[in-house]
Amino acid sequence: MVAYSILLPTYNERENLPLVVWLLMKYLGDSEYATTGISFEIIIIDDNSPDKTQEVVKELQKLYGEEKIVLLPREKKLGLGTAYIHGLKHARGDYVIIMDADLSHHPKFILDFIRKQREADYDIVSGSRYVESGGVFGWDLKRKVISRGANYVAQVLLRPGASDLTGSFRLYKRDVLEKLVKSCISKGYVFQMEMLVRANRAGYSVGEVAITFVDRVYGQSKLGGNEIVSYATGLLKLFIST
Amino acid sequence: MIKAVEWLIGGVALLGIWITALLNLRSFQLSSFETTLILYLPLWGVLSFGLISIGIIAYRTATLRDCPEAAKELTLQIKEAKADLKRKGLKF
Repeated sequence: MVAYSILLPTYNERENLPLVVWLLMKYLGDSEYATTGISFEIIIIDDNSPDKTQEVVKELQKLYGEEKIVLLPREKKLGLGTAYIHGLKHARGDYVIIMDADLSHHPKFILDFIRKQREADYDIVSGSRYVESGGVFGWDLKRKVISRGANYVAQVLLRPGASDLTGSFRLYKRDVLEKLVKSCISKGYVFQMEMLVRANRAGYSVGEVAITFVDRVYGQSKLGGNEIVSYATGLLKLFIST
Repeated sequence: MIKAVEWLIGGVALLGIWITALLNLRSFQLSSFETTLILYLPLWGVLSFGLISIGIIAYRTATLRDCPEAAKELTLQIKEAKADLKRKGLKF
């Protein structure tokens, strides 16, 4: 039986993916829960990465087994929402953990997510950079101001009942994620926000744990004028529809 | 209720109170300072909301914690992971 399914959508993460998987094995494979019957699987949804991420997934399967590492290839780069839907079709766990595969999310926090979820049988546990002992690394002042400003506007307009709306490190009850992801239509940063806003409106309980966010060690981090515009329009759409 | 509608109802209610106050301004017998205060109430409201917002965002930016220790831990673990994976024969 698999209790936790970890969904990793990837696009050109050949460098990072083995390291993420190694860390997942280190913390979950050999954790305090390992002895009490908690099991997990890692589901990699790869959008046909030109850097041949899938080759490295196959190598990882040889190392850790195809039970543990599941590869779900897709033909081309498609949205995050559909990646989750695709992953959910194959996920065997009662709980689903979503995270980025670029090492900005450290797998060690998953143990905190699990602990928190059990505390009050939360429907969702959201990782937050903005609560005590949370934090970021690799952000300059401008990035911090934009992030805090964007978050503040969303808090005022939407009152979503969670401190970190655009983060993508979360644990969901499987059926909750299934229902939410189908009702969310936004793209990019707004998608994660829409998930939490709709969860709030539907009355799902959300717990929060502090996480640190280490901005991409390898590869490019993206935050440009386009992102800000699409964030603003996405936010307004949620404002008039939820 | 949809949040935009909540805001609309709140805004209309406040506007209503203000307009009622404006229409009855003479019966209050206020000083000229108090009259100006009420006359431009929405402006004061917007201004103070803006200032408070800037203050909150500045405070939250200043208190957004940097976590060099997390980056350091990760860098060390990446080295460890690469060495271990190489030893286990992973080609990457």
